[in-house]
Amino acid sequence: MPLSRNVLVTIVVAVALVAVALGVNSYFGGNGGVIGGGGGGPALLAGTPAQSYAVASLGGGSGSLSRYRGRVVLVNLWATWCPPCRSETPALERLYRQDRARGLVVLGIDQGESAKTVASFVRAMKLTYPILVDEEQRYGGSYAAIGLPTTVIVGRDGKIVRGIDGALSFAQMREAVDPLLRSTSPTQG
Amino acid sequence: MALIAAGAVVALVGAYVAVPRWGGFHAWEYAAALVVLMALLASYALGARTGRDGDVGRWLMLPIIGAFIIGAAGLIDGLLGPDSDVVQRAPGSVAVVSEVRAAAFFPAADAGDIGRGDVGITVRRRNGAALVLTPGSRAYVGATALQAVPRVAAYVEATDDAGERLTVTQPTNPAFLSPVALFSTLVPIGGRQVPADSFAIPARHRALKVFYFAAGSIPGLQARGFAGGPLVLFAVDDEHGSLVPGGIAAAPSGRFVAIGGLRLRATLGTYPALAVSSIPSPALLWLGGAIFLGGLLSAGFALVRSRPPSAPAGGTLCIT
Repeated sequence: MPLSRNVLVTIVVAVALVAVALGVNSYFGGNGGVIGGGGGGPALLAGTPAQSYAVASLGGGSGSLSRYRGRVVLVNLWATWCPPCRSETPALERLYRQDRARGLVVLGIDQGESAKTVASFVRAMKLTYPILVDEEQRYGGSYAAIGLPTTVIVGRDGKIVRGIDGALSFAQMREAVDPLLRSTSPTQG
Repeated sequence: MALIAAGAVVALVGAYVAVPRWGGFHAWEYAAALVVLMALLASYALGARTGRDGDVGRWLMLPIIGAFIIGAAGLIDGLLGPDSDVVQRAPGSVAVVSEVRAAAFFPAADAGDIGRGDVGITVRRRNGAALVLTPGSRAYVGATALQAVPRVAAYVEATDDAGERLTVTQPTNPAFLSPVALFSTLVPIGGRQVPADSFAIPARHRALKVFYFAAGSIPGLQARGFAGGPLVLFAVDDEHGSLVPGGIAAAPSGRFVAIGGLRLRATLGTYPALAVSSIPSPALLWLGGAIFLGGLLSAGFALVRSRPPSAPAGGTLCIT
């Protein structure tokens, strides 16, 4: 049955109003554009789950960050050719020896070098904290490292509490991990 | 004529949804075509309302209205929607995609992953499930189309003369520790624009440039021992930016070359970039589509029912 004129006009007007409302809303209802997140450093990762990859362990076999889930981990991305990294290692070793009993893990993850190169340096520096050899540089890429050394503090729940680029003094390392070691909550500092 | 115009509108907007990355949908020509077709529809609708085509005209009003709404959706997005954007990030990076209130995770990749080219991008929405875009696949999220577009990439490895691995960095890239060349720069070489990327080998105080040449792009290479596939050209500079003696060499994918005190290898393949394109409002498309199809069905049904029954053969029988 053909539509009467009034019904037709009503439908057209109603549909047009709905169409305009829907169309306008879809353009002003939200933000536009892609915000790049490829840079900016590890500080931007706070609160996100810490990525874990199985890589070679200097002690033999393979190791990963996830092995230390439930503990406070100071992840240090470094390399033997990096002068600030080398100067930082005595402080890392000292922190590990002092706070190991409190549940702290210092995890050194070498970026891009072979185990032989890393082992030679570790022996010379008499380091005892666990060292992983990340030849593929996966950790460095995932932790938004903008240089070396890069330090990432991971809470007991496996989330990144803080990311810091550049060498740290012993006092700065202690300041970063003490609140987590004192707290029994997974992330509270 | 009106139905043809309506069909053309639906086809034009349908193409927009099917191939959202094409820049032509935001061009004035596309908008002009839609406006002309929609004007035809409006003109027919006004005439039909006054009974120009009789009942047929009135029955076709609904599909014409539906096509008009679809056309309006295409026109609005074509004029106001943003152009497509391609987000290229290094493996391990994250990009915020605010159009869909999500974060795109570009996964870590080793030489094998790059060579196979099967790494996908994971898009995690704030209130929804994760969406994995495999290379070449597309997903629609509201008024946005997301597609993982494979792009040429190379995984670069460096060792010393003894074969001990050396750290590869990208000092001028936000992804400092990514050894994956994404060839985001074009460098003029020999009258052509050649994709290039740059790295550093800090343990040896060397800077490295990597250039990509597609298969067959350099005539005469087969005569020099390169079997027709794509290849990379390495150029090694010292810490002062000067080319080291013998510091240029070409190699096919996966082959080590010794130059500048280094042994270098590039594994060629692909790594995905994320294409983000706007599409016409899905709400308008659904509304217009429902009215268009419903109107077509209704008109067809009414047309069939309105046909007079056919007269019996042979006329009437008179008995006098």
